[in-house]
Amino acid sequence: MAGRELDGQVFDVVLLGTGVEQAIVASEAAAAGRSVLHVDRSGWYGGGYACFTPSRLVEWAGGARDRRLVPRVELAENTAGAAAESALAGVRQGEREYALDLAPRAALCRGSLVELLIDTGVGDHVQFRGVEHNYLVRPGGPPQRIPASKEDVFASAALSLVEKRKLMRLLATVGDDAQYAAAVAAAGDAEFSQFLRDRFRLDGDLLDAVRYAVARVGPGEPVAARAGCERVRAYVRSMGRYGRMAYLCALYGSGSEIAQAFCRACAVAGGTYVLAADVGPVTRAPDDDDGSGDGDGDGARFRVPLAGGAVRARHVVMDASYAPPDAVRVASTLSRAICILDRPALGDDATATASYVAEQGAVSLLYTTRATMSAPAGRAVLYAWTPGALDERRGLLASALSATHGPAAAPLLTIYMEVNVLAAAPVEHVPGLHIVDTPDATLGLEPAVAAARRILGPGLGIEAYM
Amino acid sequence: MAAGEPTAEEREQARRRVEQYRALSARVDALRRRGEASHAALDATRELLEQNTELHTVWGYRRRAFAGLAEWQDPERRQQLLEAELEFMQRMIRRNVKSYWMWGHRVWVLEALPRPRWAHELALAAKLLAVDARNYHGWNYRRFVVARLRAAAPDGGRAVDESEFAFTTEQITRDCANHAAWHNRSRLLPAILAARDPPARAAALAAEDALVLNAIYTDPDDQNAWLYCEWLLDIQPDDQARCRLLRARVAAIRELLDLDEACRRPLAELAAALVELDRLDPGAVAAAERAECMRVLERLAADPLQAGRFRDQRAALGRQWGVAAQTQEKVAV
Repeated sequence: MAGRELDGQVFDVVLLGTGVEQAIVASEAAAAGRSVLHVDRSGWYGGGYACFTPSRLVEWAGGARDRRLVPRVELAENTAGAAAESALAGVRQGEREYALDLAPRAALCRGSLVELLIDTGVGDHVQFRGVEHNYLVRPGGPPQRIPASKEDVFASAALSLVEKRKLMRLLATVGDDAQYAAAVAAAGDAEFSQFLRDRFRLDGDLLDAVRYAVARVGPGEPVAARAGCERVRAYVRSMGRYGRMAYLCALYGSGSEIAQAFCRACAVAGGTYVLAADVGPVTRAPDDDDGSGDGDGDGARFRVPLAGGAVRARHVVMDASYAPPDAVRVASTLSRAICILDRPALGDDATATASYVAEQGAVSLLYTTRATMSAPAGRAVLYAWTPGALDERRGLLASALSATHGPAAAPLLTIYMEVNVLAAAPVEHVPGLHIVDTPDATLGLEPAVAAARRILGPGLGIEAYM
Repeated sequence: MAAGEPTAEEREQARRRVEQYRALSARVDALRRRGEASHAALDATRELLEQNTELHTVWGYRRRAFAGLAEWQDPERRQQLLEAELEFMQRMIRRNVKSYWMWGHRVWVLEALPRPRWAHELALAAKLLAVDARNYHGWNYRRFVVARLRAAAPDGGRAVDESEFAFTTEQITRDCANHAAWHNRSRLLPAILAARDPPARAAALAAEDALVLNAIYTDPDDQNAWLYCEWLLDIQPDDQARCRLLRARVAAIRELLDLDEACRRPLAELAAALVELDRLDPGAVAAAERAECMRVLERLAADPLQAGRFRDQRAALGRQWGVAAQTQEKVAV
């Protein structure tokens, strides 16, 4: 019994939850020679980034689901009665070939995660496919491809000549260091969309495409011109590294597979892993007592109850779902949808991102197929998500899904979820205790790397690859 | 021993290789002087050419050796010999794609073959261009193969021309700065136009203009599109069509400059277009546009590297149009 074996042991770092952030910290800590214990109360890796087959997802929804993290899950079949049965049968057939992400993710080709995967060698254990297309979707559709390179712009049938010129000006400015610096300096405090209108004369579809689909700014999220331009630059710089794509998407689980790869690296470097373990509330001995009661001053102030026993740690890293209620707040709420399509509407062996922009709001989408081993051949999984509570956003999600897959495909099964982004409450910081937010609405994994770095550097004093 | 310096063993191996090469070269040279046309000669030349594709005298000798064989006269044997030669050349292409002598030899082989497979050769050229869209050898060889296909075609080559034209469209779409593709297109267009009846001809020309405008709006400073523009002007059926084209061009350039004052080439082209318009249709360019043209030339003359050219042009135009060439305001230096 893991708890008995570990009982009383002292670790430099104990990590709770096997999300991407903790996995990166664990892997780097172990590589730096720290003793690491990494625990997850679930029987699988990934935490908030976990990946399920449809039946496992349904099982999780009814059972082990953390209701603070995911308050609501609804299943919607496209029809009722006997037709619903056959629809579900369509999903059950080959259902083990589905990999449904709770938090779909991608990585910029020249972003911090890809660089980390290369530098640490962890990338050897993950396979990726490129996200080949990026779409802008309006109510009613159809999805329009967004060009992001000169070749794409030239070949695009959707842009007018004037729009092509405007977009090329933006791409050229962003791609050239001197011009970019000058543009950003001239922007001052301007807001991003206003800046795009003033300096590049973008409007209409082109403006929305750059704001939502390239810079991936959320609806109503106020973004300064500088920050927005940085995002456009990161996107454009990522194009061409591995082909005509700005993002990569991991196979077998866009977030969980990456978390697992880092966990594997941690284990190889000596870290200990315990899954399906009951974790109790973490307590901290006061500063003038190391908590062991034997006065040996080993600095391991934290006590982590674990599966019948307890371990001690100098540092504890957890995602907010492991923190007690008074230490946690709901930073934001998202509505998510996972839609299994009966036909691969946007390509049989393709991966794509899309942005649905309507008056009521904007929705991010990710389209996956067998290309990322997310679905069996002939099927597809379309993810959609938007900020807000499910009751308010369900209709918007449904519109976004149907406009994106269009009449060419029909949903076999749609799962709606309301997800809270949990974060540490603004209480006094406890030295040695590091709480990361649970997964939010961003598409990229770069913020997860940044969160890991904040813990590794300032928190644990580890500089490797950071 | 420093890293990268050859070991004694490596030096010995290199020395032996040089010795073998020199011996082989001497043997081939001796065969060549004797004018021997035999299988032994073919074997020796092949061995030497495998090591060095640039020995054009040896390629020449190899051709004479082939032609001097007794079995050369028998078409079946010739077919077999040359098919084997093509296979040999296929291996060599991978080693050195840009050897003039090798491609020249291949052309000789295809011309000497009793039954050449042109479709296969076309596929080879396409593969070369897929790897490197600007490979001169690829385009040149493609033109050679296409010319043969055209000559052999029962419809006088119309289908070949159309498919080649479509090929250039594909290449330009892939990279609108591909000069070789635009050039090839310009060589095919007259035949394409001639094969269509007048209404379809006008539509085809309009499509060309749309294509070139697309390239100009995507990259206004790239010279390929502008060169094609100029050529399109020539190929118009009459001056009236030319004037219409120039007017459309002027409007497009004005729109471009409105969006992006920084591009230079469109400025120069605007002046050129107005001047040409005036030449074709005197009086078509009114006073306001003439003044605009003079201002444009003034702006272009601000570049010290091109000041002389544009100032001269401006002065000459000034005399021709009776417009003052000197500006009243101070010129920014």
